[in-house]
Amino acid sequence: MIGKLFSNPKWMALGALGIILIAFLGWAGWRILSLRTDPQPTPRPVVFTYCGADLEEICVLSFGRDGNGDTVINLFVPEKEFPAFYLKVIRLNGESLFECHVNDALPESVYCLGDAVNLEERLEISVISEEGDTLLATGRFTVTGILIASASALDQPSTVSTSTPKPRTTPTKTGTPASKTPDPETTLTPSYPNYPSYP
Amino acid sequence: MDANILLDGLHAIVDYAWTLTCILLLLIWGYIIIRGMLSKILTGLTEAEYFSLSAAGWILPVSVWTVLLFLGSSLFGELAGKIIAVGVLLLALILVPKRIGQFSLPITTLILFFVISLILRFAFLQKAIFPSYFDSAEHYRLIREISENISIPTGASGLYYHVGYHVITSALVNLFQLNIIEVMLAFGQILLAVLPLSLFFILKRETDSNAAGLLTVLLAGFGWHMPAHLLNWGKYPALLSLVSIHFVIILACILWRSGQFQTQKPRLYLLLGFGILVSALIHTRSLIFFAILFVAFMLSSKSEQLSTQFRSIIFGLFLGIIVIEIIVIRQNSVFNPLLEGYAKTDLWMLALVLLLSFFAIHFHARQTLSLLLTIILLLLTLFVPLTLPGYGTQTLLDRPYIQMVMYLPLSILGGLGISGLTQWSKRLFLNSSLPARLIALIPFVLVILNAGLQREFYPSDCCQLITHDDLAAITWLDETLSPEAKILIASTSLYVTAFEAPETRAGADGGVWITPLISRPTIPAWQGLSFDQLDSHVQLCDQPVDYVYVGGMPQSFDADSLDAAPNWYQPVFSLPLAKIYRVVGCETP
Repeated sequence: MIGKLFSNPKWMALGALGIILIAFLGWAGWRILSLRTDPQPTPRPVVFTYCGADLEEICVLSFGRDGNGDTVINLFVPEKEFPAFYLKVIRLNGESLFECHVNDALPESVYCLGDAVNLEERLEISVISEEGDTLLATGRFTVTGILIASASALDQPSTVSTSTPKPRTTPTKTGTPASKTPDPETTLTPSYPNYPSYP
Repeated sequence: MDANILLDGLHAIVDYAWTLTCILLLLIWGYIIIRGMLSKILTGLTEAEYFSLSAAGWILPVSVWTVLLFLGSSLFGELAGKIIAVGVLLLALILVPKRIGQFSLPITTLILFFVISLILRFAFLQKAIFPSYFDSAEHYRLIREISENISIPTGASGLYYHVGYHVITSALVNLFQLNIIEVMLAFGQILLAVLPLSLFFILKRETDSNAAGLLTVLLAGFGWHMPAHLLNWGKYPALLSLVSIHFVIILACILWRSGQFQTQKPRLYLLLGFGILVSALIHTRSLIFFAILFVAFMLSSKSEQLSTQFRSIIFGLFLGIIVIEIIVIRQNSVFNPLLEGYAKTDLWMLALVLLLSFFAIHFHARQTLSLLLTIILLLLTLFVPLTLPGYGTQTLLDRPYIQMVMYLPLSILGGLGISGLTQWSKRLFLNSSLPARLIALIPFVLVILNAGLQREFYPSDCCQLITHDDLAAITWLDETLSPEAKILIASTSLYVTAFEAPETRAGADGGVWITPLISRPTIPAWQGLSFDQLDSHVQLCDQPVDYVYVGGMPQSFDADSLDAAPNWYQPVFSLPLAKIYRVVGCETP
């Protein structure tokens, strides 16, 4: 059947034309629909946790902090399954709302900013749609590792990082930030490394 | 090989379904057009040969179509340009009704290879956040700029010499309204799956053996860490250029053996010239590669007049020269990764091809010597300096390019070898063809086994510069900082040739994506900079630098040295793998 189709020029041209037309109409329909309607909220709240190795469902990637001492919650969010949302964070001493920001180039990357939380604090995080205040997802977290920032600079209590310590080269000389200045490296590291080692 | 690769591949195909459909539609359109043209100017090919040849030739109609889209948009406006582009897609299908023959075993095998290859290659996307390494960031920036304006940039950053890739990708992005990141990622994997198919033609014609053609396809697809590893380097233009390189090589082979075909030579030469032009527009260094191939081919063509004994001596001599080159390359730390790349995961395949090459030299002497000479010349170009205005001193070809392209002579050598092996075993077993067929099967099994054990189908840790924390930090930068804010990012020196100026920089972490994604100016600095030293702070203030970006790569800036000087650097955004510091205290040093 397929062989016959490909041996007949008229059928082949019509078939290819049909495929392109169907694809074009499908695309146009999809674009119109996607422009007219926001993604539909999931019918019931999804339970979410910290992210694992595979990013498929909504999950928390990391906790952090900004210069005002506010907490940053970094989320992975499947683009097509969630409309614009904010977070409600319930703590022992009350609840607060976190405003969320989506990366334009990769809409799965979303960070939310709100009141400071402390290390080892237990939180209940609810993901709520901006339109209609629908509960989309919920999860309970113990903040085992906020990160990071310089305690002295922020005047915050000590925090610990959950990130794996990175192997580092210890800088012994002072370089200059000027882009035209050569590296003071004594051994050169070839660019474009092979799999899997890092230069 | 992980059993989940197929599942991951299928999952990614579903995730990228629309992007994949759009890209494949364009490729199939290009295939149909070039297939129609070839059937007019070249007759006497089998359907598998037409298929193989057109699997590389699609790049030519697609390039013309892209030019029409850009030309139409610049002359009559964007909408008119799109209408013209869609019209050309539709009209051409009606205007080129060509007879295509029946499916045969080779063509079915090639299609099956493509489908399996596509699924395996798409597994890469299941774990890739962004296109890899620092090259990708620049490709993204150019594609974004071109697709938004539908014009090729002509400013200081314009007339980039990889313009072909950026323009074709921009046309896809613009016409189908696709996400640039998704197009870059998916297009790369599709190219990897399509690329080996065209090599079937060369081997089929040179050896009259389907097995030789199919082994070459298998070797080029899964025998080596290249060209797949190119995607870990973000070298998308180089990968696309390989498609047109294959096409040009095949056309050159056809012209060389034009006695075998009923051809319209002038049209074929025209197609060849156009192929070379497209190759050069996609990647300029293709021209040097063509020159090497031409020289190797012309020199080795004299070998047909030599005796068998003399050919064997030259064969040994060529192998000896290659060994010497390898020894010299090993001494140079910039070039050594070329050998490491092949030694780490491709050693068994190298041994197999070396073994097969003894059969190749016996039965296909000219082609074998030509390939060995190509390898010799390719390695030699590492040592030939070339000074270009605006680019400083480089070499004819750089180490990554040679590493990339080496799969081509090696794969063809393997194909010639299996043809020789089959002929040799047929002579050995005169009464039955079964032993010869079984012997020919062994290299296939070895390549598949090696691929299962050695090939990596997921992104390499070496080159994933950006994490989700980086993306959050970049989003924060975009929403918080003024457009003029200058951000210091970590960089290392670029070493791909022996002649690079030490000030040539390469981004070292997610900071390299700041300018492409949010158009904020960044200043690259040595990744080992000690921020807690007074002179560093003074120089940052003098620049002036407003913020310092610390990513999550081993070669990112050392956050500890920034934290050690809280009066100079104030953390304003911190996640485990991405931190931003404001430079303060400049008025009171």
